[in-house]
Amino acid sequence: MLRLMAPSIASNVIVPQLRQFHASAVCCKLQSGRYKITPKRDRPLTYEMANPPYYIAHRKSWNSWDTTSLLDGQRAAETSVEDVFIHRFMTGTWHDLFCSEVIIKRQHNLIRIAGLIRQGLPARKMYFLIGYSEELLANWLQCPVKLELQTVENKETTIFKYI
Amino acid sequence: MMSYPNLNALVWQHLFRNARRLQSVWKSGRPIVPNGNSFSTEAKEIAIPNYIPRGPTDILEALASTVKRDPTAPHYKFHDDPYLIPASNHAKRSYALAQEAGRKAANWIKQEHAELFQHRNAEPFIEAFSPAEKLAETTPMTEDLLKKYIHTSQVANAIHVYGKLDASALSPETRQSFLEFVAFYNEEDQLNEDFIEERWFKSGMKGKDQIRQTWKNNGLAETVFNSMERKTPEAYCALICGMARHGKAVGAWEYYNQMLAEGFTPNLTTYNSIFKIAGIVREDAEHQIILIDETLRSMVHAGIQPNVRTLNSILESISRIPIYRVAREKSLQVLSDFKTIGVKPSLGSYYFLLKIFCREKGPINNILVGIVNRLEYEMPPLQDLHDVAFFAEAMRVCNYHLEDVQLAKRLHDLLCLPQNQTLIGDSYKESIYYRCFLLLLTRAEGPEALMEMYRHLVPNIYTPEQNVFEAVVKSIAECSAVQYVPELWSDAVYMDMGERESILEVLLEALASGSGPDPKTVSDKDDVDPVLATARAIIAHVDNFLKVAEEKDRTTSLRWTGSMLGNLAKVFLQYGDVASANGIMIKVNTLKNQLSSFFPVATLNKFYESCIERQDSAMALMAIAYAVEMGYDESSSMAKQAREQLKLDERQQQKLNSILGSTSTTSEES
Repeated sequence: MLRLMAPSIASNVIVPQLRQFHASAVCCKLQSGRYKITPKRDRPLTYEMANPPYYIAHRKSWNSWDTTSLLDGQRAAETSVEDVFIHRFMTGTWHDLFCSEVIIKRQHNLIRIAGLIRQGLPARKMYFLIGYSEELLANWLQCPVKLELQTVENKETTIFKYI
Repeated sequence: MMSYPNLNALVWQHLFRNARRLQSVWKSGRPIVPNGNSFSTEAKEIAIPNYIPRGPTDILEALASTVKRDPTAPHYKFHDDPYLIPASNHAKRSYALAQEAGRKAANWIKQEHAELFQHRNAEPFIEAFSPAEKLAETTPMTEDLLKKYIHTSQVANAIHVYGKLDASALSPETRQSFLEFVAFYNEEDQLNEDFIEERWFKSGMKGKDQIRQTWKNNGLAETVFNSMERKTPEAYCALICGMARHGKAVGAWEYYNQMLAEGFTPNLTTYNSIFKIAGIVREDAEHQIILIDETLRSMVHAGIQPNVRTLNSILESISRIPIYRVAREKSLQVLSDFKTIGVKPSLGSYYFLLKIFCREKGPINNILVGIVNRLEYEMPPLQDLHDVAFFAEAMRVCNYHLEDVQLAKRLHDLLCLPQNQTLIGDSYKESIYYRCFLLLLTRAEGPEALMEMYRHLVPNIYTPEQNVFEAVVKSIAECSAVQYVPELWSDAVYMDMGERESILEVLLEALASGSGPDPKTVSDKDDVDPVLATARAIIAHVDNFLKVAEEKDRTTSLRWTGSMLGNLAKVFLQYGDVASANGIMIKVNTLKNQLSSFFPVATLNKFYESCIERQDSAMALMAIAYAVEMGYDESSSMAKQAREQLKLDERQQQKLNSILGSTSTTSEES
């Protein structure tokens, strides 16, 4: 109605847009941590991916272990940002080697970083990267950091199922 | 769920009973301790022990003493993952150093991008996490900065700052501490203490045994000393200790005399340094001993109580005296003198005693037995740099000098005590220790005892060198303990020694030393005897290795030899594996000119007999052909046997004739 009336009003007046009241059903879509089935059923999933988030603490566990979410937990924001940093640092430094999520466990002032890596490098070079990652992260986060890696032959060994 | 109430009831009962007992204690006002055996009414006073003062690290030490070395797991510095566990000595070394190289790279990045590492997360802040401050042109040079560098032992930086400062304006204390600092480090930066692996793998023994002169002549230390208007006794001491430490014995001796002439009294460390260089400033033994006695006397005059390092320094000097008798007598005398003034010897003292008493080509002396007796009774704490050399030297004496396996085991038990793990020294000493231990065991022990210790040590605690491994295999072969050979073969492959000719040679020798399968044990048809399986695995492994080397154009020193093939054939014949034995014979025939040693006659005969038994003429002819070619005397009798006992067709007859050539035709005619 307003729009019809518009031409009759002077051109320099801004007409407010009318918004329609939305009345459709609520979209309860949950997407994160879930994977779509492909037509050919050939999308490989690891065990971690195969279990949607509501299975955390039932069939799988958390990727970050710390006490920030407990009562009187400290440094919640800093810890999350650090965890993102650690995740990016690890996947970047160990390029194309991680076959699982980077698991970050904090105990007192110690950070333990676990994960599965592919045997894509000679063991000697892996030791170099272990020493490098531990030392650099320790200096960056200013606390002792330890890597607890397990190796698997190739990425295919971590496939749990295809969907 | 049903069990919970019961459990609860039990717990309550227990608590209640104890509470009643406690009540009785409270009532009487005197603690009552029930007698251990019976609940009699006899009461004893509790003797509360005296308060024991504890140091700050005592709890840590107590905890550490509960941790033993786990021989089934790799050392904790390695990652506990099958792919990342090193097997060979080379891998152990390179993995540990690679990890340290990674840490160094991270530190380098921290230094290069120091501006990015300025945040302060830790509370309280930890200095080690922040990048070291760089010296710039604009940095104000102050005495405090110099003190800080001395405190954190940054030698190059301290020298730089000292150069920029006006030396005469410094306080006497700072100048003194700078002199001590420079003299101690000899103007050189030390390897960072955090890099433990590099320190571990640096062969500590080499070079340290003989004092080499590394002292910087007319260097900064002497300049600082000369620039002092008033020479204090402390300054003398610093210079003398530095010179003695870095091998400038004559200089130290001169300054020592100068110091005495000025009427100063040297301190304990200086005296210790003088004892150390006594063997260098006095050439022959007699004068050296006189010098030691004189210095000891002057210590008495000065009223300085010697300590265990004094004892070790004196013994070190004496250990350099070439005359056995003089050294022995003097060392015993010194030892008893120190005992009377209450200085107990440390492991370092025992190390020098071993050097004095158990010399190469010297008479055999079992002083080590007494030392081990005493150590089993009481282990002295770590007090001297030389303490860590004791175990390697003692095991060397056990092996080469005494050849006493019981003593070696007692020594090893001492080392295995949790608090003694650190006394092994460095990687070089560790390998000497275990090499001597295993070599002694191979000579003195039976196969069971040897293998028990071998399994305990290899591969996690110690990876044997090639000659040690050969000695183990040979000792097993001598006892014909063929049941251990499969295990040794898999170890050889694991430790990267499966491609070495000498190792294969001894392993196959050991494999063939058995007497064949035990007829008493009835085995399944599909069940392959481990010895036979090992023989097959060795063939497959070597063939595969040679094939790969050929394909990739690699040069390899590994070749099949006649004795290796002979031993393999022997094993196959023992276990009745005819097909594999035939395979060996074919290999012998194709390689015959390349084999570096002959296929043994005895095995050839055995093989030939088995051919006759199963009427395999083709293989029999092959064996004869080899025998003729190598000129074995048995060839004619073999041919004769072939004619009589084998059914040869026309072609084989001709072949036999052509093999035998003229020699056999003559015998046929006659």
